[in-house]
Amino acid sequence: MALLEMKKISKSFGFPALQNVDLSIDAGDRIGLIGPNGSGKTTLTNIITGLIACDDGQVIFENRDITKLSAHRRSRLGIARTFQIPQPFYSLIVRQNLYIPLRCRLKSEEAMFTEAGRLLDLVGLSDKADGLPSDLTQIEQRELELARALALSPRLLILDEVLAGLTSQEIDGALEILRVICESGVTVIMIEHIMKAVMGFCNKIVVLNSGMKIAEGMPEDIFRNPEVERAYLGE
Amino acid sequence: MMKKVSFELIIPGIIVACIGLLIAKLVSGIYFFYVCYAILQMIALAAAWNILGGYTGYVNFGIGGFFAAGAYTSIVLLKYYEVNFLVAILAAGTVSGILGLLIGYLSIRVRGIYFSISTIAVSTILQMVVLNTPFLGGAKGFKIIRPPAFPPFSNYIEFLFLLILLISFFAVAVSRLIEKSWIGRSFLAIKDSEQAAETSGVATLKLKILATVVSCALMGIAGAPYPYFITLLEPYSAMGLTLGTYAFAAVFVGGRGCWFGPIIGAVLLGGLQQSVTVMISSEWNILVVGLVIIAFVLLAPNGVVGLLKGRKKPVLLKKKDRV
Ligand SMILES: Nc1ncnc2c1ncn2[C@@H]1O[C@H](COP(=O)(O)OP(=O)(O)O)[C@@H](O)[C@H]1O
Ligand SMILES: [Mg+2]
Repeated sequence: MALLEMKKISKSFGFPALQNVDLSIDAGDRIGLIGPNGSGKTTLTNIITGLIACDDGQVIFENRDITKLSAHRRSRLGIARTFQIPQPFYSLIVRQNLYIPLRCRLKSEEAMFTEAGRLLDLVGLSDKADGLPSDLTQIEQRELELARALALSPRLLILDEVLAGLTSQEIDGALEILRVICESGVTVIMIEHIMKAVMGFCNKIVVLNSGMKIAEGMPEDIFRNPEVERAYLGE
Repeated sequence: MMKKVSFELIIPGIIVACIGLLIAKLVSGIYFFYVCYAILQMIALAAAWNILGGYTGYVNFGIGGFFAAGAYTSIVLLKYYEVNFLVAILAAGTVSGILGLLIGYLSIRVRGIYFSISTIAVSTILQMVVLNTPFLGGAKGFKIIRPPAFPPFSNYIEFLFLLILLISFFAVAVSRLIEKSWIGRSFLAIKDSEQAAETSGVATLKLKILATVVSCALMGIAGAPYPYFITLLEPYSAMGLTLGTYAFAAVFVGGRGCWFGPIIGAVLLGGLQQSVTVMISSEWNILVVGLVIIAFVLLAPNGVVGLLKGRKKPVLLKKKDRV
């Protein structure tokens, strides 16, 4: 049974940003969503999470049509994401940034405190828990994005270029964390330009180009696909 | 929850009322109560504005409109229907709250400066309605004769002082309750990133409407006793920009997004305004207050509270740091 199904998704911003995109994701998948800049990856994420409405098509999550559901309801169903450009809650300290999603599933402040501590520990931000997000580095802000998304205890986690700007070693560290997350039963969609990470982490790759899905398959096959090569060479 | 409300609202409210009564008994000068009334009204309006503007970041420039809606509701009910003062206050809050609901729905579509401009429009529309409705006093307004004082007060202004003291306490207490709860935290999340709040499970629309309704209702409540304070209620002064601008400035001087910011700001600005008026002249007062506001915007954009916390550096210093 598919966890998430997208049927013939189209979205226009005056020009077609997405055209008839079909996507089916099984529970436990680690999907790599790749494509040149402007190919519609973030737009697709926005449609899955409900931040923007699609013009056409259907979004089905766990056999339920959520096309018309608001974004906060979807996040409570277990769809979480990070933002390409980190959007921390600057007015709240790092720990309290996690309280916002944690309140969806925990009642008491003590429980939230403990769980926030565990998540910050997981992404390596424990020592910054009482600081403000504005004092974090770019990379730490991305770690906060990840922790905040995980705080929803998601079924599906969409990572919008979380690895950008990391050194090779830091990428390995981050992938270690992501493997732990996957093993706990979270399905992941990873939007990424770093091929080493995509190849090492994902079991399936989807390629977008100019708003169209041009290829889908196992990592090894995708990079032998001439159409994919053309899309990337054209960049 | 009920326990929390009684601890934060009812018990302190009774204490504040007792202190107010004591002050009314001990102080005999009338001028003192006029000054206090003006400052307390500014606290109430600033605290009310802060709930929407300070926490969720939606800047409402229509303070005068919501305040006047309360003032007119209360005078109409008191004058034509001779209701109890408490009923008038509740009705004032309800009317302004409903107007707030309309503005709240606006926030679905428009953000930032567009939202703010729409709130000015509400004020202007209200002014037009009042000007063209004889029942509401038209351009001439309402001339109000204060009822005689009744025990334990020796002057009606003492009663009005107690009333606005309780109203401003209520506005600050509500703001504090919100700030200390998950609701306040969610409001701040909305201010920082509506998208991230929404994808973190915050029902942003519902909460924005809640913030607007509570904020505007409190402004209406603050306006309820105003006709008896001013004794001539007419659309130009009641809905003009002055009252709103002072309240707005009080939040900036005190510190946005913090429940005691409006108190600090209103006491500083109100005190300054009164002392300049007394010591120099009322023309100078506007100039001096204006300069103080500019100084705060430039040097301490997060107000006195921001200075005390010392977290965020002021704009001017930041620029130097960057060089
Ligand atoms: N809200 C929007 N309004 C108008 N155009 C948009 C909007 N969001 C994205 N776009 C455009 O849609 C295209 C796809 O953008 P995006 O999904 O962000 O691409 P990617 O994430 O793959 O780099 C780009 O040309 C972008 O400029
Ligand atoms: Mg993108």
